Formats: sequence, C-alpha cells, structure tokens
Amino acid sequence: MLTYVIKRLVAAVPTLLGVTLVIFSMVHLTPGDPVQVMLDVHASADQVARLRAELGLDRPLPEQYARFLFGALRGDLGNSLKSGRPVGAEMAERLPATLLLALAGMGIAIPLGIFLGVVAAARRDTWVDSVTMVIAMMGVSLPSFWIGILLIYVFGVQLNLLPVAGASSWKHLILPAVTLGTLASSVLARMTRSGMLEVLNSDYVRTARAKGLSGKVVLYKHALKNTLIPVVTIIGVQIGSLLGGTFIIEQLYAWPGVGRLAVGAIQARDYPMMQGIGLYVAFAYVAVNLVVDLIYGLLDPRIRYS
Amino acid sequence: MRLLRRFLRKKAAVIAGLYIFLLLFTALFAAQLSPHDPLKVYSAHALEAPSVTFPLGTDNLGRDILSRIIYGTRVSLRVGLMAVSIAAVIGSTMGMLAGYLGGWIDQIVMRIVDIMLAIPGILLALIIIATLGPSMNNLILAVGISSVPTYARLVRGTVLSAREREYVEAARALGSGSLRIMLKHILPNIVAPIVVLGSLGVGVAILSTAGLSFIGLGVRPPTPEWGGMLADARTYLRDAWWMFTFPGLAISSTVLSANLLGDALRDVLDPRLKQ
Repeated sequence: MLTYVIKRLVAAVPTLLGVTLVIFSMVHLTPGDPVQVMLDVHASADQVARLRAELGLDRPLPEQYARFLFGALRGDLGNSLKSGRPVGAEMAERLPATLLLALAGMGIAIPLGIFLGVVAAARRDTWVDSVTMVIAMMGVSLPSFWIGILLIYVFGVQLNLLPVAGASSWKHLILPAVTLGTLASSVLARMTRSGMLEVLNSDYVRTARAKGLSGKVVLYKHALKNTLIPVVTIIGVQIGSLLGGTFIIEQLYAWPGVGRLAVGAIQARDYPMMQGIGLYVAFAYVAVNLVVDLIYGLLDPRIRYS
Repeated sequence: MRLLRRFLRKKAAVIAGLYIFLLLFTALFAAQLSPHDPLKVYSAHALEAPSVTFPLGTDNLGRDILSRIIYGTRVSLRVGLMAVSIAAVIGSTMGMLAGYLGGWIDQIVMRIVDIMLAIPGILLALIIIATLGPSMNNLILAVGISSVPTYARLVRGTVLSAREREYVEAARALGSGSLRIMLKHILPNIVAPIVVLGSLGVGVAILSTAGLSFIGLGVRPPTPEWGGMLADARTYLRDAWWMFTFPGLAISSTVLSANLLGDALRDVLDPRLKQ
C-alpha cells in the first residue's frame, strides 16, 4: 500500500512538471506587457526597464522558468503584480473559502445524487424513475449561473430570506453551495442509477431477496455497496469540475475564494498569480485522483495495489 | 433504415432534433426573423416589460431582448459546432496515431493528454483566453482544445482494439501502408463513438461559452450572446425578470436538446458507450 502511494506520487511528478511548463509558457506568450499594465502610460523607458529587472522579466525565459520552478518547490510563488503581496499568502487567504464551498457542495451532491439514483433504479420504469431522470437531465443541461440567478431572485430578492453576496455568515454559504451541489448531484444520480440496475440483476441480489431480506436491506446493504466503485470515480471527476464550477459561482455570489482571485488575475494579467493558481488546481486534481484510487481498495477488497 | 426507425421511436429525441433544426433555421435567417436590430438602443424604452413592440421586453440600454436572443443563436451554435469539430479532429488524430503506431509516439501523446487532463477544462479555457485575448475565434479554440483529451483517449482505446482485428490484418497482408489502413479501414469503424461524443459535446461547449461570457471572458459586448445577456441582467434582478428569464431559457432548452439528441444517438449507434 505504502509503496503504491509512493509509486503514484513519483508518477505524478512528470505530469505536474508538464503542467507547470504549459502554464508558464502560455502565461508568457500572452501579448501585452505586464510592466506596462502596472505602470501608468507616462512612465519613462528607464522606469519600465528598472521594474522589468526588479521582477526578473528581463531574464531569458528558460531562466525565468527555472526560477519559478525552484521558487515553487520552496513554497515561494513570487509576488502578485497587482497587490505586490506574495502569491502564496493571497492564495492561502482565499483557499479556505473555496474549500468550504466545494465541501458544502459535495455534502449536498453526494447524499442527494446517490439517493435519487437508488430510488430511480428501485422503481425502474415507473413515473418515479422518469421524474428523477428528467430532473437529472435538466441538472446536466441547465447552466449553473442561471440556476444561481433564479435562486437569488426567489430567495434573495422576492422572499428576502437569504443573503446573496459575500461570505460573512453561514447563511451566505447556502445559495452558492446549493447551486454547486444540485448540478453535481444530477451526474451522480445518473451514474448511481445505471450502476444499481446492473447490480440488481445479479445472482447475489436474487439470493438475498430469496432469503427473505427486506427490500431496503437488499437495496442499501447489498446492492448499493457494489455500485459505489464507479460512483466514487465520478465523485473524483466531479470534485474537479466542482473546482472549475467555483470559478463561475464565486463570481456570481461575490464569494471571496480562489476562483474570484483567478478571474481577477486574468483580467489584470497578473502572471505570478495565474501561475500560482494553475499550479494549485493541477496539484489538487492529482491529489484527489490519488485519494479516489485509494478509496477503491477500501470499498472493494478484491482490488490489490501493486 | 433500421437505425433510423430505432431513433424515431424515441419521442423526446425526435422533438429535440426538430428543436435543433429550428435553431439552425433561426441562426441562418436571424436578420429576417428579428423584429429589431439587436444592437439598436431605444433609450426611451429601457427596461420595458414584454409588449407587442418588444415581445420579450428590453434590457437596461433599451435593446430588444427577442432580437438579441435570435442573434445569440448564431454565436452559440457556431461556437458549439466549431469547438466540437476542432476537438474531434485534433483529439481523434492524436488518439489514432497513439493507438495505431504505439511505442514512443503513444507515450508522448498520452503524457500530453495526462497533462491536459490535470488542468480542469474551464481553467485551461481561461488560460488560453488569457493568453490569446477574448474574441470569438479564441473562444472557439479555447473551448475546443479543452475537450481534446476526451477524444484522444476514446479514439486511442477504440483503435487499440481495432488494430488487432482481422480486416486490418488482411489489409496489411495486402500491402497497405499505415496511413491507408488508418484512414480507409480503421476510421470508418470508429466514426460512431466520435459522433456520439461530439453530439454530447455540443451541449458542454455551449454551456462553457455562456459561462465564459458570463464572467466577462468570452464574447465581447455588444455582440449579443446568451451568457453575456445573463451577466447584464444580474444588476437588474429586482426590476426586470425578463432580462434573466429568456436568455436562460434559451441556453437551457438548447443544451437540453443537444444532450437528449446525443443520448439517443448513443443508444442507437453505440450502446456500449452507455454507462
């Protein structure tokens, strides 16, 4: 098990290196000089040159890349061009808000999605199944930000029940988390349903029923457990798209997370910040996938790591 | 014929197909169908509720929302279809080369795919747009490239199994070269899964386009685009429900139809893909 984890971590190194290279080159291919953006139009050529040297932007690109890489290894991602503060520190400030939002979203999506999937499969080809699957289909087709706007309109503007912008209390978390969670739950519901349908036809489920076990026990104890492996994979993928989803949702709800930081950095051409955030997201992605693979083993003892 | 009959049996998919057809028609004849110029500002009529003159109301500047939605069809369909084409062509080529040639080409291609998969689609699209600047063509490129890895993986897997089949062996025995085998023998046999993935991808591409425009990194104003219209509506939630209701319905119904159509095509063409 430990050797497996180490092997996977070693295998992730080239991927992460590639990610840093892609992000670094794309960021530096960007037309428009960040120094020109930082200084005002009337800055003298001398001032521009001095600032370029100060930021290390006058060095050859390979050297800049090496500096970025070794800096990142030491936890130093450079300073934001916009605020002048260390990128790591600004990200660390914003990270808890994004994690809280993503966890709350998953907290809604996982139970809701699995429950809907199980119910739809148990009542296959009845109206319950159809209604659930229509809802799930809408969940993957409707844009998150539109659902968010509708929620804001109903609960914020019309009923005046919930705050719609900022993050100053737990109440602020409800609408963004529900917006993120409902979408993720529809993908999970579809996966759970098809997984359950397969399992419900298997011999051991028939045996369990023949033994006279109640429908609920068979459903949740025997069938669901064996459906969970593909579902866990999808949860892993969903966490990735959830992280992506926070970029838009944070913008809509003025939620002070990494997504908002990223969009601001792109608009301001804040190179170091864009590099830092790209690296963080890729790292999170690789880590989540590793955790998902390890969870397989807990769910299915037949899987051995080697 | 048998496939067509099987497809026609799915009522929802047929309705979705007709709806997409209607959208294509709308996009082609936008100029004839719109009651107003989508860019024309009727300042005296700003934030007006739906009426006979402005069937879906006007926005904060006094532009006709129905006309803007009609013209928005062009943007969404164009980006959706072109992004998917780019992704399918680049991704399939990569997957085909990797799967058929194997060896170090396979290694390199799949490493690139791994790297692309380690960056979430929307972030990749954001980085590409940040690099190239926001414009319609860059948006198409960004949305397209961010879904390349999906096609590359699928095609590589399919090619790996097709490569070992008798008909490929027969072609090789007859002296066909690699390129000829790939294009003439393998490609026709892997078209179905690519078409299925593509039709499901159109909805995703339209959603990404609207999302990027919503956060101000997609199509530039004043070009009418559904996601951009929703962004404008955010400030006027209290005063103008029509500003956010109709563009949202336009995106949702289009993506829903594309997805229903994709699901049906998958069931008909390639039931194995169903999970």
